[in-house]
Amino acid sequence: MLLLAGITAGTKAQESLDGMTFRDALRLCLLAAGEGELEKAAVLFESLEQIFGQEAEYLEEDIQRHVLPVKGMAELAAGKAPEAIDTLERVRRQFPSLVREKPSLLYSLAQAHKQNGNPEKARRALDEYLGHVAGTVEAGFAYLERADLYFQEGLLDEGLEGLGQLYRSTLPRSLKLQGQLKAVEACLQNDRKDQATGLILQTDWSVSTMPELAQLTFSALRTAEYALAERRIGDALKLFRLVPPKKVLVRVQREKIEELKQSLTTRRAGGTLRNATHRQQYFAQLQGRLEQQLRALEAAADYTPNFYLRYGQCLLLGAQLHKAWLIFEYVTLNGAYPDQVREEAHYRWVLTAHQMEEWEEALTLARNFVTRYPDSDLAPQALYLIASAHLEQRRYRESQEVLTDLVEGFPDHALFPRWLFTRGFVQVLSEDYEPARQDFGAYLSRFPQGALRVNAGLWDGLTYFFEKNYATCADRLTTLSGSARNHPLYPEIQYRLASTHYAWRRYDEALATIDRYLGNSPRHFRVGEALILKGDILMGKGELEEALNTFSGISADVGRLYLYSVFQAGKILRALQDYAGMVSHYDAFLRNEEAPRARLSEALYWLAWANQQQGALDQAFPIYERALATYGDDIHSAEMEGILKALQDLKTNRVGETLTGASDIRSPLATAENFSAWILREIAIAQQNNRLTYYARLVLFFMEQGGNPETTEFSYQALADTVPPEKMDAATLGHMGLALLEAEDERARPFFEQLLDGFPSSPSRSMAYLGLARLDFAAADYSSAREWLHSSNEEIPFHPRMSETQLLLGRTLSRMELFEESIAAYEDLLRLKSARGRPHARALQGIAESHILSGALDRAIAYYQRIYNMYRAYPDLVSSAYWKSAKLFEALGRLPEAAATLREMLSQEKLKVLPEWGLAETRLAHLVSLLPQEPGPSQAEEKNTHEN
Amino acid sequence: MKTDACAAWLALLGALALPNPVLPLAAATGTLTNTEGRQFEGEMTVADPAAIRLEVAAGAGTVSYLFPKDRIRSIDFFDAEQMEAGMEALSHGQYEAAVEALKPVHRQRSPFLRLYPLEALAEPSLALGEAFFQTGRFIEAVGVAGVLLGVDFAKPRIHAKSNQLLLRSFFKLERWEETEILAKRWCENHDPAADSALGWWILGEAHLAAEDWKAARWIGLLPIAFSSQYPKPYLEECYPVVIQSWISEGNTEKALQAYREFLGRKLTWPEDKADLRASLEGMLGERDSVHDPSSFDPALEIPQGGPEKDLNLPLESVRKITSKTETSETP
Repeated sequence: MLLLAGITAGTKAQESLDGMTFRDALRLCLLAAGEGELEKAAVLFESLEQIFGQEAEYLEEDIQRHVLPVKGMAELAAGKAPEAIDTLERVRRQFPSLVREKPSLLYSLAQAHKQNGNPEKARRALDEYLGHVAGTVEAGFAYLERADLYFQEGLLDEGLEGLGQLYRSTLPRSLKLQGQLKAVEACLQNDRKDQATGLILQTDWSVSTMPELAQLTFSALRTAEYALAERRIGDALKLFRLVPPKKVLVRVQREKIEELKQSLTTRRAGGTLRNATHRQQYFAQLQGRLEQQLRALEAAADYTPNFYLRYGQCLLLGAQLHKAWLIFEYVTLNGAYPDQVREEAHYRWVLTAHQMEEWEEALTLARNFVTRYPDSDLAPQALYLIASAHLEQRRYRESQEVLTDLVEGFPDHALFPRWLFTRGFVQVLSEDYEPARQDFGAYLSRFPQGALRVNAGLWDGLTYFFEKNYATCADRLTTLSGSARNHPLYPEIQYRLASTHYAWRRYDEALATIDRYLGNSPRHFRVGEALILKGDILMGKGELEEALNTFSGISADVGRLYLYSVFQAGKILRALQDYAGMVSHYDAFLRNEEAPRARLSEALYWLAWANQQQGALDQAFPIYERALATYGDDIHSAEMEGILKALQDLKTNRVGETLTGASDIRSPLATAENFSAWILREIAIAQQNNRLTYYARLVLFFMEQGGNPETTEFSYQALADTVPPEKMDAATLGHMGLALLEAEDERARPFFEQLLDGFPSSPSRSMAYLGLARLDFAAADYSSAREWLHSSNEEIPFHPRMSETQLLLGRTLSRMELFEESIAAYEDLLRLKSARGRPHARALQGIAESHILSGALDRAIAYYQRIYNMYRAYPDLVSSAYWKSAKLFEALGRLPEAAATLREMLSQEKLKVLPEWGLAETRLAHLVSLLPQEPGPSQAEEKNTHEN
Repeated sequence: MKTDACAAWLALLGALALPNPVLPLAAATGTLTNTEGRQFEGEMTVADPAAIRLEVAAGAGTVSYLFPKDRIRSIDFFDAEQMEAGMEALSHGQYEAAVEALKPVHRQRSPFLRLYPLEALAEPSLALGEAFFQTGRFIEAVGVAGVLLGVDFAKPRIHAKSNQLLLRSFFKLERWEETEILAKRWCENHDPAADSALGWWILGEAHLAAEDWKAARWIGLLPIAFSSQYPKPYLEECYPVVIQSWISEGNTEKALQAYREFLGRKLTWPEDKADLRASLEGMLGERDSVHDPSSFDPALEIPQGGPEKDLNLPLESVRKITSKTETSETP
């Protein structure tokens, strides 16, 4: 130390030690080292050793203790690794206490081994170094360096373990995070993606404390893409969240470099880096690395568009649909992004909207996609999404059109079979069975091994079922089930086959099939329905006891099917005239608290009815009245009209005498003077108690039954004044709306709207559709009217307003000049047996009018003729048909036929009261005057006489 | 030339009938150094055209000098100490003290911004605006922001900060119309991945106030969708907007899903939404104790039909993003 102190004020170090004393030579060596001229110092130390190496002065322990460390460090700095190793190893051997005092000598030794290409020895030196500096920041740097050495040696697991120790230590977080990043990088380089992903996910990254953000970003991107490919969506999302857009990354990385530079300047100024070579080295390397990464980042293409695309896809797969929408929208509309990326984003935007079931928006997006990228590989898929969106919206025709474009435009596409099948399916839904079969047939012949072959076969068979061609359906399904035993649809086929046999009234086959189904597929989702079907089959066979047992075996946990089974069992008991059984059956149902609480009023009705059949009027009346009291004011309870009808029958017609004579029945109705008196009193009480739903029901029933001639206080208008729509049940709303509409009361619409909003599954909705269609028809908005009527027919296939609906549909279509469709609508009505009579006659009238409007006058005449020949029970229609038929004949210049028609009309006295009669008389006289006079009988006779 | 933002501010201030609440002083005391290096101490006022009038004490009276701008090397104010005290108070969260210290600084210096539109000269005013805001004096904050927006600075930073102050102040004043205009403008000028979510948060709040839940949700979600682990001020405020929109539409499941995501991101819940957080915690406890969240699959709902809508809408009609559109195009 004295020596060192003595040379500090000396002159600049000389180049050679020639001719110097040991002390001067040593002073010169130390001077060079002290001035940082390490290469020179290394040369000088080498000379010193060559000249004085054998001298006792040089070999003196105190001198060696001071000289060797400086010499070693100088050699290392001068790139003389073997010499540095030799010197520093000597220090380690000779002065272990010095190494303990200055463990940085071990760090330098490690560096020397590293430079010398011996990572193992370097690592061992670092191990020893770590033993001395545990818990210090230096240890952190050493951990990082040691990991590099392990990796260099190919000892990946050992290196990772070392970094794991660093992460678990209490060292500064930025070092620990660098260690983790190094570990991730090593795993990725060695294709250990799983491990890299695990590491990156387990680490609590902090972008505010760690410097190497670019590296973190790219590692996160790689692992996120891996997780996405592995469908680990949650993990992928977490990883993508570590990735900023390039612009942000560049800015933050620049800030980090600036921070680092400032920190280095501060540390240097504060002297904290003095005597900490390895720390300096670390920071210098770090800064270099960061700058290099930044340069590479700036020069590279922008990863952001592709990153957003994958991130969006990840959000889509993770059902984070709103976010996915925003990402795809952003990329799609970003003009600065590559076209290919935008095209893909646009397609995925469509998918997202589709997934969100935003059908209108999905359609808009998909159409825009196809317009924008007509030649895109994804265009067919986008078109398919359009078709699906139409299908979901029940726009079958539009869906079918798009599918046809696909089928015809892309016959070689991989998804062609699915499109073909789907088009067939859509045609089934729109009841176009023959074209549907053609598609299924085409599918089966072109793709006999296709994934949807069994589906196609099933739907092909079912088209015959829908056409009531049960024989062919059963034949197709039987053949299909033979070749689809292992297919997931096999139980479905069996169930459908049993249904077909049942509909075909082949009960034995139906029973055998359904038993087979129940035996083979006890867990199939249709088991509940199958048990119901079995009960129905047994009923069809007349095996009522068996059927009863089957229905009774259905448990309450199958919901609505259970309710069906309860009422079917009740029906059997009624057929068996087992009224006592009915009483206990419905009583048990009403008491069963586990049963769905629905159709209770209906059950009460049948319970009362069964009591009534047993003559137990004392039981029946209170039950009926209890049903009214309990459910009369409940807008969702059914059978109220039935109960009122039953009570009216009881009181008025069938058992009136018995009832009035039964003095032991303590019931208001039993003691009332008559039904009208009772119902009027009920109406008054309901109004008084503000039970407005019940009140509306009673008033409506009263009015529909003809009311009381002496009472005029009730009217639909008055009822509308008293009871708001939201207090009315579905049927009341429908009746009220139609009645108000008829009376041209402007309040009709809210009743229809309330019915549609409040009763989504009520068949009474047909009245709302009819009413709204009538309103639109009156406003000449025929297109809207048609939609309402179509909705009615699609939603409620059988409803009591079917005739009126079809007739209005025919008229609407005619007004839209869609004459063929109009005639088809009327013909649909003519096929309805339930519409026989006047509706059929009006349908014929409608067809005739459509023909007139389309210019086919002669065809119209034929329909009028059918009216006056076949529907004589309706004189108003007959009279009108005659008159119009005659007018048509006249218009066609067929005056004799016109006159004959009018003559035939005027021969029917019962038409005399109708307005056409007077017109016909006048017109006939005019026609006769135009026709050539035929010879009268007297003239002929005269002629004959003359000839004779 | 006044910027668009400044014009908007003036229009808004006019609509509010607000006077400029912190009036600038006519004169400031300080030192003026001319181009020759000579220094003059006295009372400085801004004169036209582009000059400073200096009143220097001379005996019992004063001498007045007029320095055209091109003859001035620099000016220094005597309030530097007060300014530093104010800035320090602000940085320590002592907002009242900051207001007291910075108010006279702003009044003295702001008239000189017209001659010297320098960021350094504007900093105390900006700090005063922030101190006003923090002490709930939003109208005063609006006034300070307006002064700064009336100056053409070389770099956009001061205007950006002033606009933020203006936006936050109008929001706090619950002037929804103005807030919405400013927030929309903010959003239009920012990329969704920008380093702040301020505009979307406030625009979302404005839509919540108007009970337009759906719009509020889309707006609030935008910065969330584009957020990463990198800090983004006001991101945590966007979550309550989204959550509130779901709750208002009766979809508690979605609200809880968003809340769970918030918790997973270790963000800090806004203090003024403590009630919402308490109710979410309640719902979360209830739900987690009886339900498996994964069992909630929304059922497919098919609309009941009715007349068809026009399906040939332009893409613009379905867009959800409210943000800058310079690089966007609508096909």
